[in-house]
Amino acid sequence: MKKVLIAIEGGPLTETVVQHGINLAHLIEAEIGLVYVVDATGFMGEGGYTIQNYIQDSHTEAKELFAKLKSEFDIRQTWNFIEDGKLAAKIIETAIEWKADYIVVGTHGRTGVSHLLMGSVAEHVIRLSNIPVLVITPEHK
Amino acid sequence: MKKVLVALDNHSNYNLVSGKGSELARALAASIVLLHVFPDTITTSPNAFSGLYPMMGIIDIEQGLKLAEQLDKESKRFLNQVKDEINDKEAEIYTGEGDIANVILETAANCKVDIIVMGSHSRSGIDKILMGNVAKQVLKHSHLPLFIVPVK
Repeated sequence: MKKVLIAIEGGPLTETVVQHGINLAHLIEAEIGLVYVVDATGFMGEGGYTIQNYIQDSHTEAKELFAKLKSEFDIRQTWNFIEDGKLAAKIIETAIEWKADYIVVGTHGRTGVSHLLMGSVAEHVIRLSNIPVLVITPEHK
Repeated sequence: MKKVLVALDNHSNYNLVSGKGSELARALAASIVLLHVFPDTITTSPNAFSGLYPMMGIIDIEQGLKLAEQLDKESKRFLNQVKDEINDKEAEIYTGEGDIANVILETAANCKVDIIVMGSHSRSGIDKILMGNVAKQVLKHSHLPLFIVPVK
């Protein structure tokens, strides 16, 4: 059975990305994997809010988002991955370990300044990937 | 009916892109538009210096037009060959000249396609810099989903 790994970033494009990913998975009768990467690179602690707090909160956020997407899109079964590390590299790593056939990713994430400095996560994923990548862009730019 | 644009170049592994593209089109029950872009023959564009057409650069207009005609013929022949390979008699064929990303985006708009399939062009050396930019440029300006097939 084929496998489609959908990278979730929690941005405004999330639902569009998931919709396209699910459509693709249904078309080719594939299993669906959701991956949420918690990237604490460049995190600046503020007051008592530490990097551990940030990572913990992000994991909670990811779990809630997975649950929400699962019910919203009525997905029967998904493989859920919450990974810590660099966004693109972790997406690729997860795809390799899970033996995905396709990756689905959006172009607008939460990467802020690093997006401008280093190019988008999608670009990195494309460059690193050995399997086809479906890139979802915002409808209106 | 949905439409899939499959943009091809002369990479020796182009069949990975056409293969994955036609697979996707079949899954979508979509029709296929095959596109091949050849370099601008009159102006000096960076594409003109990439691997396949090393001698092209600044040339006179008449020569340029003749060359363009010839390249267009070659592109069409290539695409007809791909059409046979993917076994799709209904596939439409388009050729274009000039900036690859621009032509891909224009063709996608003109043909009203639903998705663009192209290679990642992760080649080595100078081509990697030039061709890698194509996917990047299309990504930057497209509002359509892009299906990028790794070509190495």
